[in-house]
Amino acid sequence: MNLLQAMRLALGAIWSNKLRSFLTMLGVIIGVFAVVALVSLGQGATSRVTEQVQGMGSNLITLNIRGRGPLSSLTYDEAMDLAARSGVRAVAPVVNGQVTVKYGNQSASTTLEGTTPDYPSVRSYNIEWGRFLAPVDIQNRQKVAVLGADVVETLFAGTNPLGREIRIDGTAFTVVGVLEKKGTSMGGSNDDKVIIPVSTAQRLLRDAGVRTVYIQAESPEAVNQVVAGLEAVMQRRFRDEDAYRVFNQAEILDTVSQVTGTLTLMLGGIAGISLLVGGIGIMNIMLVSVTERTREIGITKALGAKKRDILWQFLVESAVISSLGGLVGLLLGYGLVRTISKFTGLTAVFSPQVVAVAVLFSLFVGVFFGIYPANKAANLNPIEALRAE
Amino acid sequence: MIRVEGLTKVYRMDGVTVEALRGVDLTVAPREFVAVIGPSGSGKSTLMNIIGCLDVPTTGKYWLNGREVSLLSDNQLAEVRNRQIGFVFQSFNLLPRLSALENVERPLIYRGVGRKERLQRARAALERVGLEGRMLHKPTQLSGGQQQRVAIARALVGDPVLILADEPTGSLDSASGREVMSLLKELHAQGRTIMLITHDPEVARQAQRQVRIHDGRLVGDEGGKAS
Repeated sequence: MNLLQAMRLALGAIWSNKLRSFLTMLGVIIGVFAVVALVSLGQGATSRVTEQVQGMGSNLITLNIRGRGPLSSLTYDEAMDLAARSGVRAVAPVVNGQVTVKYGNQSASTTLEGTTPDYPSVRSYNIEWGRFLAPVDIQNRQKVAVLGADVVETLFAGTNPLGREIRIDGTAFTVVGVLEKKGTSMGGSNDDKVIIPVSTAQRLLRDAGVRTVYIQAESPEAVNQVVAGLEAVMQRRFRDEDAYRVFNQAEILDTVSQVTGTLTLMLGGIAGISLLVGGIGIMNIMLVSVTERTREIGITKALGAKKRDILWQFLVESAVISSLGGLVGLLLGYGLVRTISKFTGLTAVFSPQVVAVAVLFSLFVGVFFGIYPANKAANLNPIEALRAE
Repeated sequence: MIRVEGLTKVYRMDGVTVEALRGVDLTVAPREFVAVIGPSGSGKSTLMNIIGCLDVPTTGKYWLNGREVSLLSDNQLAEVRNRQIGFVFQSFNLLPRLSALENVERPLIYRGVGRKERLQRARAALERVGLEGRMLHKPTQLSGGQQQRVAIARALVGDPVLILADEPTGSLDSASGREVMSLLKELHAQGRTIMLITHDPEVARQAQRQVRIHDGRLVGDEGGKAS
């Protein structure tokens, strides 16, 4: 008897006991459904957080200075010196403060960042319109500004901001560019800010100190070396570990993906338990079915069915029940995941791996929990089986 | 066709030893119609199980169609049942979920015959027993006599060398019983070897040869070509 024939017999048996087959299937349906839905949502969360962290800039290291006593910041030159260290591709020192920005009768309170031309490449910003700051703007302390998308929306409400004059804490600046919208990330909104040349900002804020430096390493491998070097320099400068902090983006990414990965695994594991319970349900029903069909098994043995034939028939039956259940659960899970990501902000990743694992695992559950009942059926003594009622 | 020598069968049930067969010698020639007759508990069912390759003897030898089957493995016995023996049971033993046609087709599935040929042979067998109009009926939709004819068609479909009928009229009214017996006699007339097991002397008399069994021993043999 070949597999196709065994399948035909199994489908016949499943069909002739529709309600029972469906209820048995339900265990696997719910199990696979839960696994697919939870793992997809978990993976969605992982990829979203990873994206956000990576969106902050590639190979990014952030140096924050909190200071110690009168030494509360670096000078601009000290910050720029960091660019010469090995493994460093670019450096963007930032002088920042809270300011009020006005255009016409609109005003907004926002963050001011004074920085250098390397800032967009270090922080992974794109310019939507116009241009970013140029080296000449820094040298000449030009009063030019690049606006974040949120600020543009508040002040200009749809009109073209390029070339307009805005007032930052009362000083007139010309808008030369607008940053592309980036969305919120772990540090809050990335679009609610005004960027001006660092030299201009030092004047405007009456503060010459650089408290934040964004540093881009040349490669992921160089990150650790750069971090170690930075820490050594800062230690020499401040002689206090609490005076500065070095954030390593790769480290954050590792931690975050570890946390979300564990969470996904845990959710999948809990859902997996329900799949296991579904499998036990299959085994239970198959055992009942073998007992009920003892006489039938006796008859087929008298007709010349070999052990293997009967083993196949029952094994295929439980595998078919379980993989059909797996398929239905997969479709339901897919439906739920699509619905959730459509109507809420949650992202869900429906990966081919999840599909493959769900289908293979449900097939495996069917075979694993079908082996014992099928074996029991195949080993029945034909004479005793024929005598059964 | 069938030759058994010194056949014994001992069961051990709950520590009690039961000697069902105590040395049976029997030879059945091809195209014979033999009835094995005996009261219940005489060992006739055990004999039929062994001849039908559902069971193996404790001691003794059994040749079917020139092959010693008392030495075969479970799988080989299944193969012999499938190809050489057709069973007709007292309680019909049809598969309740399947139509008459599907029931008759079953032995050929285990033989690995292709679907087209299977259906063709199953239809021919059902026509042979006069059920061409009932092929798609389920057993519950058929009368007892019709069910037994389906069972005979199923026994025939594989073209076996031996048809083993165990009390084939036992659950039938007398009219249906006569029908079934005349069908068996027809098959015998067409050259098949038939072995009938019964406790009913009326039924046994319709066979060509009667073998009497009592307490696990053959005690009489009448009408045979050999004797």
